[in-house]
Amino acid sequence: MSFRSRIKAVVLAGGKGERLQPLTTHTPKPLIRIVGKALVDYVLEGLTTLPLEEVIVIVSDRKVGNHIVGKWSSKLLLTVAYQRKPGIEGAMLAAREYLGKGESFVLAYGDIVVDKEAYLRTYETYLSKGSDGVIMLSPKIDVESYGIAYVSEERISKVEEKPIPQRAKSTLAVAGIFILPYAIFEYLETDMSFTESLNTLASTRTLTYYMWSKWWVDIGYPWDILEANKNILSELKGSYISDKAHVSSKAIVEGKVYIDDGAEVDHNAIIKGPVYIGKNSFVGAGAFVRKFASIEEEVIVGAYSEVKNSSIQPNVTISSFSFIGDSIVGSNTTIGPRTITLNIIPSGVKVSRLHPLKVKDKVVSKLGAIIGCNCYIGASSVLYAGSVVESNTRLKPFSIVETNLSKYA
Amino acid sequence: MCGIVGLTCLPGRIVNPARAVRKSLEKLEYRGYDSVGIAVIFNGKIIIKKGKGKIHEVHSKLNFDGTPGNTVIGHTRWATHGAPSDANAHPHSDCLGTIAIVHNGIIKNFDELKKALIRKGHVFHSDTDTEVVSHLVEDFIREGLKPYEAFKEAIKKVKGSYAIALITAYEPDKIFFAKKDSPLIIGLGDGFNFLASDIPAFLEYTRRIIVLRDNEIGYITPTNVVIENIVTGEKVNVQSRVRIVNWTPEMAAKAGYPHFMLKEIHEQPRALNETLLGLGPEINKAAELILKADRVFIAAAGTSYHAGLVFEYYLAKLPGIISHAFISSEYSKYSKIADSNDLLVAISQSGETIDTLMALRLFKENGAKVISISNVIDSAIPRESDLTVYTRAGPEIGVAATKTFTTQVLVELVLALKIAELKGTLLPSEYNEKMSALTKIPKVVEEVILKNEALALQLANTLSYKNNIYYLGRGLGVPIAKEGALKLKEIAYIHAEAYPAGESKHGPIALVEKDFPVLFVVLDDENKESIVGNIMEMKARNAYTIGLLTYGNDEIAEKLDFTFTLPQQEYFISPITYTPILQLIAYYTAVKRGYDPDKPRNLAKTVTVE
Repeated sequence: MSFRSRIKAVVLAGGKGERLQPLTTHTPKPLIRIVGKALVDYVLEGLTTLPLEEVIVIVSDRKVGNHIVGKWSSKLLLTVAYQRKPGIEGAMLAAREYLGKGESFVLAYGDIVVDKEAYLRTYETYLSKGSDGVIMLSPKIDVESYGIAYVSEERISKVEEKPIPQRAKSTLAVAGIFILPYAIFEYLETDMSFTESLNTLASTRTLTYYMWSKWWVDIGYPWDILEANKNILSELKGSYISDKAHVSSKAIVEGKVYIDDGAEVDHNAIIKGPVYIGKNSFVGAGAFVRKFASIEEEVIVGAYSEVKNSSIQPNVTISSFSFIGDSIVGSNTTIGPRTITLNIIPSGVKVSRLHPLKVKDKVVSKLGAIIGCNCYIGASSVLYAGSVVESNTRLKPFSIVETNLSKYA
Repeated sequence: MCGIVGLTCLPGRIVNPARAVRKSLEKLEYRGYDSVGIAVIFNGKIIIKKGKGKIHEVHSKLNFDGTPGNTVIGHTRWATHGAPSDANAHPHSDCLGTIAIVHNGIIKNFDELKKALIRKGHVFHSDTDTEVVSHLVEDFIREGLKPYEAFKEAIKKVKGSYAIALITAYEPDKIFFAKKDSPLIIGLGDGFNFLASDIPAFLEYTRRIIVLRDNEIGYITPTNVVIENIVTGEKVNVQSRVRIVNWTPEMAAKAGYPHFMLKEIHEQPRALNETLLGLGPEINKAAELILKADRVFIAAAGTSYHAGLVFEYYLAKLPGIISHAFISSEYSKYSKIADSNDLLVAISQSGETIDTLMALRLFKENGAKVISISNVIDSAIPRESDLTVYTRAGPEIGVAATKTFTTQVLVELVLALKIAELKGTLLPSEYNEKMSALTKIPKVVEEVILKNEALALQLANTLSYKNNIYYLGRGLGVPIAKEGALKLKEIAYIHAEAYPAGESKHGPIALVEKDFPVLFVVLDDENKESIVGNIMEMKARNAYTIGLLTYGNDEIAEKLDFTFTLPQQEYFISPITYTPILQLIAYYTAVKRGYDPDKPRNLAKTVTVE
């Protein structure tokens, strides 16, 4: 008897990543680095847990296609297709011709960071429930920035896109991993939105769900990168220092760390995990790299600088005596010496998906600076909490950049 | 949930098929069961071996493995219609012994079908809903239909939920099957085919599976599979439906959830609805017994004890009856007190809790009447009680009680309302009004869960780093707080203590320091102002304050560090609507801390040793 034992998967890795600006001006969103890997790599790694026939990746930037083919073509049978029409609907229609007519398929958003088990469990739910489709759900308090689902009697009854929080009666976010019947294309063809199509499926067929109860991050805003870093680094099982890395015997390394190939940690530097130090990066003498810092590849952290809970994208230089906290720094940027980021958002400024913490009897939201790509920050500048430096900006020494998160509202 | 297995193979293809089916049934034990049986076709005759008890017990009596034959069906039963007994165990047969059937689900119109069949002269051997199907098939065969056609006609007459496997002596290599709302999966082999309620049952033999969908019907032979849709009559392309399971899957029964506990929390609306629908005349009888008694005692352990405290409160507030709830293991205290005018309410999910059984026996020996509340039909405690009111939560697999607590409370509330009506403390109109409010409970609980699930996960991020927490409430809020603390203790392993909020000043507050979490159960009752005072005294010590309250309490919410909100509701249902939030907090905290909430260390689901 011949039979189909495998399933096709569609990864949506197109789109502009507008909410991630200015980090995505030179790097397409799927290639943003998170603890040593490109964002889209987390999705493809998750898909390797499934019995796949083929993976169709929809991209809108050639660099993304090249990265994926280079890294994954030995492990997955890949087809890279380009997105012509905008939106999730356009991306899905671009995938249609590669799918077998009538065959169910896996749909994965390309900007999700989650344990790869989530993919397997969602697929397994599809197998054992025998339903027409499955949607993975993850409880999220910021309902206004997600699609949310209503469930009843083990079925999805309705999906709602970015509801008004006061009116939303569910906190279960649609978590970017789906098994869908081919029939969804019939609805998308008629110009229904993706959400409307899911609702039509929910009312005409059986859509079930998998409830994911561990952490799950959708990379929408720059600070979501910090959340993903934090979750991944918290789960480091032990320390790893590559044979090809060089850590000075005078350096202090404490807690769980991942120090990648070719990285160098100089005399008297203090690395206090959980921390990631990427390929060929350099941490200078006396520097202090601490909790939830992810220093990606080819980065220089100058002598006596401090970096905490920040994402430093590739090829960044942080010159000596600087403090970078709760910040995100885009690729190829240089930060002049003695640059300081402040990190307590003024009370009253509400930032989507940024959750206040109780620190010493006060409830505060912590976020540093968001610095774009190819910037030069002049020496001794001060960047206020929630300040944004657009890509390609050159700031004079002693510049002051004030809080302005209006572009993310 | 019952479990089903079917196997048909070419001679010699599987050594000892009956043994293979017994082994498969063992893989389904997690679904919960009280009796077990198999049916085998050998030399054109059907042999049935079945009985009440665990697989190994019944096997040691009847020797399943020694049954010859290449077509076998098997079943583990969790009683719903008819008590657990040898007669009610599956498989069931027809009048002639030429048919055998196993079934998981509930046939809703069985009563009417059964009466019609009895009028036609059929003789039934059990109290089950299942048996009607074998007689229906028999009836159609007598009318001249071929077995498969007869099976199809029978299934068309049946309403309800079912996964069915049926064999006949007429076509000894076929197993007929039908599926609606209960799971059924085919395992495809080379010269053999399996049917089962869950994938692990046959994983040892094959990894090629077909998950059957609702309204599908058909049969397997050792070399063939036929599936069609009973409604449309369309044949299913079998090949297109085959899937390979290349890993060891989670049990299908919890499909959709990482843990049984989370599944069971989400199942509460349904469990509450079924419990409410399932209540019958026993409520009236129980209410009369309680009214007649001089004194009412309530014995229970663990979560059931918290349900007991709720009942004590209901009895005091609704009919105005003073009662006494105690922890079952302390029963010896009452050895000189219990007498024949007393009544004991014994609460036990499993109906087997040894301490509660001992308390029950003490009261019975002294002539007291006993009413029990249990989730397992005809278990030890119901058997020794004068009367039992059953919750219909379905089997609870997670060790931490969730849906069984809220359904116990629902039963107690219905009972307390009935007593109040009989006693005249509630006017019939008030009684009707309150009873109709109960029908809204499943919807309210569903809403509460959906709205608060993400908040519970969010709070878990904070709680997972704490070593201690207080749960405080007043009045009806006290047992809710106690249940919340127990959940957190037993699955997240965080020291949690609950007490009436007014007790704070008498000791416990000495431990409160900066960021010590204190959770308040705030109900809309006469205690609200006092509890605000308790919140303020905890805040003054820089505690991390968490609250559960209804909408419209904004001024209290502002004082708290973290709040969960619920819809405005009938006051007496609050234990049913507030507790799911506390269950979610415990669940997500356990997961965040890396523990398996389904298997807490050092704990067993049913405690049968003193």
